[in-house]
Amino acid sequence: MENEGPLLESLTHRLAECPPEFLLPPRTPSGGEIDVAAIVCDHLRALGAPLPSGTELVFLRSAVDPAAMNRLRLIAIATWLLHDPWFLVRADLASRTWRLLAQGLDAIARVVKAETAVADPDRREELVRLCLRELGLRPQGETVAQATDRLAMLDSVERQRVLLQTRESEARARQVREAMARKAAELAATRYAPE
Amino acid sequence: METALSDDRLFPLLDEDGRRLLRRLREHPHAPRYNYRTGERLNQASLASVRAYAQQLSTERRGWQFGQLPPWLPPFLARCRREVPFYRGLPEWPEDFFALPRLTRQQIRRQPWAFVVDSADVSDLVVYSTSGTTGTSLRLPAWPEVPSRYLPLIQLALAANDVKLEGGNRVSIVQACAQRETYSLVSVSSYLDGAAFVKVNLLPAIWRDPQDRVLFLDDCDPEIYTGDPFAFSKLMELPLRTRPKALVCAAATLLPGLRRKLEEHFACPVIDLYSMNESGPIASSIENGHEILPHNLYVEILSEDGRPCPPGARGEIVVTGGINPLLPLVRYRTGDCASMDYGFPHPRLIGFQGRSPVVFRSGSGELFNSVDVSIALKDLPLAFFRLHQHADGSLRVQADCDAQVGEAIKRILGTLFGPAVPITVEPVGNDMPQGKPIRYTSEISF
Repeated sequence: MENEGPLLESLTHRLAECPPEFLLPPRTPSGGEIDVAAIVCDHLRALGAPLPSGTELVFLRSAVDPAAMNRLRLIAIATWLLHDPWFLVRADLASRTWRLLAQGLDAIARVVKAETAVADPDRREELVRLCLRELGLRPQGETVAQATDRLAMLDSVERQRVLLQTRESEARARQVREAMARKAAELAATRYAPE
Repeated sequence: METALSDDRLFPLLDEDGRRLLRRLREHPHAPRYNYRTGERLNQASLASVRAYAQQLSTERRGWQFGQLPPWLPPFLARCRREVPFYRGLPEWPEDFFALPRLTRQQIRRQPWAFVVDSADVSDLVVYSTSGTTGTSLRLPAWPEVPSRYLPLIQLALAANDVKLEGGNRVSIVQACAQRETYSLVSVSSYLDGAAFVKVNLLPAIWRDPQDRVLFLDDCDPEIYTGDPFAFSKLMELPLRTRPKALVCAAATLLPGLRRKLEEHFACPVIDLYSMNESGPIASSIENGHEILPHNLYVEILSEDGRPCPPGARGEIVVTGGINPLLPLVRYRTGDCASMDYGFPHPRLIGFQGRSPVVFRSGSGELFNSVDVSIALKDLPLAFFRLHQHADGSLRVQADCDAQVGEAIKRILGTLFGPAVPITVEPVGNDMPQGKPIRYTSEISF
């Protein structure tokens, strides 16, 4: 987040207008309609960056389960987002862009559906901010602290972790309560002095 | 008699001698009417844990100086914050121990399960329900080995009075009670090498023949008796031929006059054990005070606003640690008062003032323990309840109750004390008097 990026609103607006084709099923050996690898390569080419090798691109054409498919669709819409003219004139962002698309969306893809990242205002903002952070940028007019705080508030991965922890805590409390309610527990064990 | 658990589950380590001893006591011609069946429930692993606890007690350093923390305390606190849901859920957890919030009985009462460490195995969990001499009931989770950990602590208290609890194939401990409602039971202890423990109610109605009390207890000839002051005063009335090595008095403050009388009557030391269900034994009487017993219990004296009292200044006793791994206490308010003296190898409570023994008198003249009142009222939703009995026998109740609960209080106390005893119930509303929320006082002496 060390450098200032574009206006947040311009990017969230762009994301909201993401063409529906980007949300079509990604092409894999078992079918699909859009070639995510081709979309990514077109973008890198537009940035003037060297293209990844065929081996490096395999994962963009090989999703086998719904979670992996969701990740590919998020990569597609993130590529649409980053195809904004503000980024296209900044070739120095090329290597970070590839790292973002290859790895930076893995965690959010596990908890946010691609459609939601386009349709829901909070998730749109989260995806924009996440992309900016991975590129070392912060929204125009924000300090690092403001940008960090705002992303933390929107963080779906962290929210999911807290939710799971809460569910685990509730399950544990229920387990202990049930153990305390068992008849055998009531029969206790011998105590040797009054209290 | 409860039959939910067989002897195999109640006494996993029972050997042939223990089985014979149990049978002899259960089938004793003068035994009380046992009304509860329980056992030590120790297996090899939990017995080893009790022995390890006894070993630590004899080898690890007990004590600290004012304002210092013993070395076991910081890691204990870190574990509480990390692994105990209640402490993890606190909004703040200051680095400074002396700034940590104090824990109350009500907080434990509301969600006792929240004190069980995340990693604790609860498959063999037991529960202690206590009405206590101070009223509001608690349900406390524990492992079966926890009550057996009392034994090395009792041994330590006895050793300070040159008494050795030897155990073996005999009756080692008789717990004497004098309550209208309590359990009578028999058990054996592997930690005491198979020695028996018997809990008896001394009220004559519980026995087939009132004479059986003396015949049975003399035949038991226990090494020690445990009990509360009222029960010991009843025990003293029995023409027993045998004498124990010591009396261990708990549950209520032992007043000096009764203590002297008991020592003379039984010709043995009488040890006042300060103990709570929540923490286990805290201290036992020695010379001019009560010496802190456990190596893993940190005792503070705090002022009303929660600041540490310097040595010699009186305040509330607040404890951290405890005997029960499923109920780790951090700055638990006992409601009892004392000052602390650090000028001994182990810290001592000076001028300890715990729960006063309170005895009530029914309309027919029968004396009974305040715990009977707690048991009778246990189902009523009372956060504040005070009962005072005047010398003429009349009762004055102050309680946070509406008219319906007020009527229920009158009905229950009428049954307990008898119809001829006048009862006044005063709802306290929002203006509750200061002090402990549950308190019994009586002008009746015993």
